[in-house]
Amino acid sequence: MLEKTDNEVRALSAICTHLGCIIAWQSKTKEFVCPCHGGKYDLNGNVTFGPPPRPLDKLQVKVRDGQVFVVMTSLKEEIV
Amino acid sequence: MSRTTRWIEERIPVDPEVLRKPLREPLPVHMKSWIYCLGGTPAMLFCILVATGILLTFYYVPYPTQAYASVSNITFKVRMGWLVRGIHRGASQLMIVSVLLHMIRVFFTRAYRKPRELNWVLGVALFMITLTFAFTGYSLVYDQLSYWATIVGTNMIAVLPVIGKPLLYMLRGGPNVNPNTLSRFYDFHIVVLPAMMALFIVAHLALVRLHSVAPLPDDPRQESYPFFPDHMLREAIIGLLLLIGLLNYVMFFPPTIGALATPGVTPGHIRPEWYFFPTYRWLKMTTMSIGIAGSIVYVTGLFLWPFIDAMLERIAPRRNLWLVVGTGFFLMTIVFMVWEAIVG
Repeated sequence: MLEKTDNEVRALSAICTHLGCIIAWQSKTKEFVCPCHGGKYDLNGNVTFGPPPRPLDKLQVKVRDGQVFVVMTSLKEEIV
Repeated sequence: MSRTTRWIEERIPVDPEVLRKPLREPLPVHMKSWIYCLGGTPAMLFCILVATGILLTFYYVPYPTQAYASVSNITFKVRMGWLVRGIHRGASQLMIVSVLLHMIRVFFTRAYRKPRELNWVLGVALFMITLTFAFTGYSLVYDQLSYWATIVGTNMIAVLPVIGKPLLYMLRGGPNVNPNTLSRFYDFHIVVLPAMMALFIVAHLALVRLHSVAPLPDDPRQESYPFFPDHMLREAIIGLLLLIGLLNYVMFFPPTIGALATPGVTPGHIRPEWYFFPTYRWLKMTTMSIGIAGSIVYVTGLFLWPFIDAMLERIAPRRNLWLVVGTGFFLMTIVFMVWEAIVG
């Protein structure tokens, strides 16, 4: 999940920290929801509801010549 | 003695009486009631599952890029493939139902009490093997449900203390779900689990025979009747009805296949098969650590139930605490299952 602000690009892992399903963005409620066990996260990846034990993993981002690269090795290995 | 019988007896020198004795086993008269025939049902379903499972292995390919296509081929192209897969799937569901009904019957008649505690433990192990069979079985289809059930199920194992991580690596064949995972699940499904189940069924039946069938509490009747042919006939009728029921079920509800597994996309409203609903609901309601700890306590309690019952009896004799505690957990499980089925 990538978010672009005025001066930076942030990347969050889309893997739910509960049991590894892929979260989906809900534009109406402006939150990420896990379709498996109903965990919810805010735009910063913090848990707002449900069983996830920790926020979404923040991934390292590199911008080169206008291209965005996400460093996947920065993904925590606890739940994949 | 005919020449054929003599020929066989000379080469296999076993007293025929030794073979006939188990068939003549006297059973208490309460076993004539149909609900006491439930124990044989899972064994018959296991035979159906083995037979249809062998046929399915002729066409199934346990590799991610081909697994889905091979199940699709079985379901839609291979002659009678839909029927074999449908019976296999239907029998697996019935197996869980029949094991559960058998366990409920044994629980409410307290047939697990001394000296039959170990047979209850074996029975719970058989139930766990049945659930693992079901889990590995639907993981093989390699549709979306298969893939995400594998991800969630194996991640649950990773949370187990001490053994979690090594067990996860062993099951997945690496840190992530990958092609090794499918071939390992296939191996468990067609080799390890059937061997374990056959072994446990034999041990379970041997203990039933060694202890004889548990008497019904407060039943004054002393009469008995032979296992063969009386009880065997009842079991055969159940087996026949199961086959007729399964065939009709598959005719009216032939097997289908979901969308192909897509690792990057978890479909909305995904949920496991009905028999995992209680666990699924429980995991939604609790934090990760409480969810896993609660599941471990529940399963351990189920295994050790005969000893817990004896302990409750010592604490408060004749207060029927076993009934209160057992019914409480039973109702909680049903409520979680129905809740998940309705609310989702």
